[in-house]
Amino acid sequence: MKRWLSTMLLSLTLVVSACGGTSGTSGAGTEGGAQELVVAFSTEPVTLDPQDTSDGISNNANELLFDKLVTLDKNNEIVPQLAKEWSTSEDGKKMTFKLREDAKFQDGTPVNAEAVKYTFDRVLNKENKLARYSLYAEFIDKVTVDSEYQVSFQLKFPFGPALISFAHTNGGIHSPKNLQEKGKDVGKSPVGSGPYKLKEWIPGTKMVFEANEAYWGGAPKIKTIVFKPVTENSARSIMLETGEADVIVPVVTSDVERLKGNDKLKVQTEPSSRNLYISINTSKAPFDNAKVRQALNYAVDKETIASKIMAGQAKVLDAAFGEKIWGHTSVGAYPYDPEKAKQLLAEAGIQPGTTIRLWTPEGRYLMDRQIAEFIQGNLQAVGFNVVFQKWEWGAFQEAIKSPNAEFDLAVNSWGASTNDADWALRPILKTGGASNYAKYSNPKLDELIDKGMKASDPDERKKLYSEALALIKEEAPWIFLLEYKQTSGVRSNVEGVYSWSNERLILRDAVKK
Amino acid sequence: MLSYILKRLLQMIPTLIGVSIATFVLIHSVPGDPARMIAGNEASEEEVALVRDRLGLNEPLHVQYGQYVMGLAKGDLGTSLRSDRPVLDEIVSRFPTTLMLTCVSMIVMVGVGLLAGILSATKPNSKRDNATMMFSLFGISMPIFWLGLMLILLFSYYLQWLPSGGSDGFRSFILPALALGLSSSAILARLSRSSILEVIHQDFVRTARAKGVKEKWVIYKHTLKNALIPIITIVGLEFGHLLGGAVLTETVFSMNGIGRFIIQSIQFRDYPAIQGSILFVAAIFVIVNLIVDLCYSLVDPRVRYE
Repeated sequence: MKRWLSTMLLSLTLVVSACGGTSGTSGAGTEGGAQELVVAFSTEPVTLDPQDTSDGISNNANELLFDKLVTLDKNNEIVPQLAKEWSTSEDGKKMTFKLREDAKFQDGTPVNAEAVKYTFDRVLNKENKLARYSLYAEFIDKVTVDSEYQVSFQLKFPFGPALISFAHTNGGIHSPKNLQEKGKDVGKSPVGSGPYKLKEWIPGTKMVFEANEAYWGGAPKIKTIVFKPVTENSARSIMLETGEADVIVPVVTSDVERLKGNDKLKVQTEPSSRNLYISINTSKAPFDNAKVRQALNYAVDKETIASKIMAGQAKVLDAAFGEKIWGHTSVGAYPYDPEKAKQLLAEAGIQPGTTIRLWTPEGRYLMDRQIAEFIQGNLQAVGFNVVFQKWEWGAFQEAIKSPNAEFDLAVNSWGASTNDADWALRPILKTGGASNYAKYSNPKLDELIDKGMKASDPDERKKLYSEALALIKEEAPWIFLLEYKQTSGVRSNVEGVYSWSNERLILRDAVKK
Repeated sequence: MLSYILKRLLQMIPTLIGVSIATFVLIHSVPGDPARMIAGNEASEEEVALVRDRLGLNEPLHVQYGQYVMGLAKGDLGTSLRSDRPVLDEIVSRFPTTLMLTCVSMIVMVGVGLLAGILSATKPNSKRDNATMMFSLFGISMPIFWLGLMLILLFSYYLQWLPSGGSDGFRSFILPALALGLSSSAILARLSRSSILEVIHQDFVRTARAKGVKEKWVIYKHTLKNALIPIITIVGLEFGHLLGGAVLTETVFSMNGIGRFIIQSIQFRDYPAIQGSILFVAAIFVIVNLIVDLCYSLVDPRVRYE
């Protein structure tokens, strides 16, 4: 018996060590060498049709495959891409783009005004039921081809954030030939004019992009980029440490310190336009009283959340939206002052022991539940009895959108994907906004938001938004919490990987040494 | 025998109809709206409505179920709401991974579990027995995901022998199969120990020993064969357990199998994908049970199916 046991153990050891032998100490992901960049995300892209994309990882892929009229640079400034130059008419209702003439789609067809019109007409047609219909249909009336390389957009009204909407990943220009050939399946076999083409997509396993050698901006340095879905946070970190992945996004907060100590990799922390706040249900007493809402803001220790729970991967929000969003003005955070909170609550006639229901999703936003638990403690310290409820994301979304939702406070986050004040406020604070969970309604704020959307003079818009931000602070429909930072992990030999503040990971300029 | 198999296969039909109704009702009563999940958090009500319309989610529930069953009758499991691919294709492309993982785990489970059971039972209450049973108690108590992470830490992170995840090639199956198989082997070890102990004290074993049969043959030929029935039962049941365990293991090890697909589909409220894959797994489980029942007659000639 003993002999049998030792034979078994010996053979097990042999099998395991033999398997190890082939890869030596280099891990398993380096076969492609400098030619291949492996990127691990928490999930995989859903579709590669820019106008039907609503998730960040699909958009990261679309940024490799597609070019837009205009784009953002490293500093989030709008720069030309397929359009060389552009102009807006006096009345702000017509935008004209002159296209570059050397750009070609990956199928060899030219990028011209027809292609731009074809792409936008498709999303503007409600019958096509594309997910980003209203992003463009809201302000574009019609698209006209002026000449082979000049296209004009007639707007429904002067729309302040028009240009930034064209810089949005959702504005990627399709090859009309491919759209006609593939029809509904275009999201699985896209053709754009970007620096990478889709080579292979094995659902659930990987998505492979290969360099478009004929790219008008010059052939990309890395020949192959592979996207891999790795759900488990710690598994992603380990893949980066062992070299199985060259880039990982996101890096879980609890791993940041450990990864920073490893000289074979770097942790990149970049600003983000995503904020974290708690919606206060302003439709219910006593939260219809601004004094009570201000008291809640004084009661919460935001600094500790940013420095301890978030380990510095966030900063305290100093306005309703973060400083990376165009139109931001600092109006200052509510200081942590429990005494002042108690005093305001007493003035508002709130009895100690009043029950307050706090909802949070779990695992959707970095450290969401942990932050909510900390706030529960803060609110109990000023005399509330907090009933805490955590939700799975899908259930949370449905529950919170219900008209009879029974929360008083709910943890929410908003990442304005256009990086513009309009999208940072209108859907979440305007009366009846699709994501206005605080059910906040203030005609004065509605008017400011409306004016800001329809003004085309940047200075005028900035003034309107700074007024709006001051009003929002005073009215406190939320407990203002954090401005997140985006954290990505990159091997030291990889350069040129960066993120826009709207959480888009840009890989087209990456270099691997 | 053949008519028995046929009867059992026919009995599968009501079971699977039951499973399909139960899954349909359960997932539709879970809160969450696939249209909203697909349209994204930023989508306006108008965009969500467009997506809902496109996915056919505006139909009443009984109509949706009717359409689903009609499709099933034609062998069509529907189209995934999330990826817009046929659910059957999604399952077929992922099943080999899950099957491979389950089979390698079975090998680990039977190899380690049965061996430990025999080692314990042949010298009951000895140090060897206590040590083996302590090990198996440890195995039962360890959550699979924890064991998985520890294995990754040791073999991928420190030793760098094996990949920490993925499903390319046999090497990537070793760690997940160990994580999955070891915890099941513990159960098997305890069960086979008691099963063997029960048989080992019976008269025919004593007779065999009295006749001077070598101890090795007493154990393998006489005892083990007679103790096999409960062992086969638990192996069959554990197959289902392993399929279930694959859900966690595949997530921890980023493997592209049915388990992770189910988790992902539930998160996205991808109704056709959830229904299809659960039905698929249920069918596999029923078939494995049938195979286990048939195995009884192979091991024990007293069992006959008419």
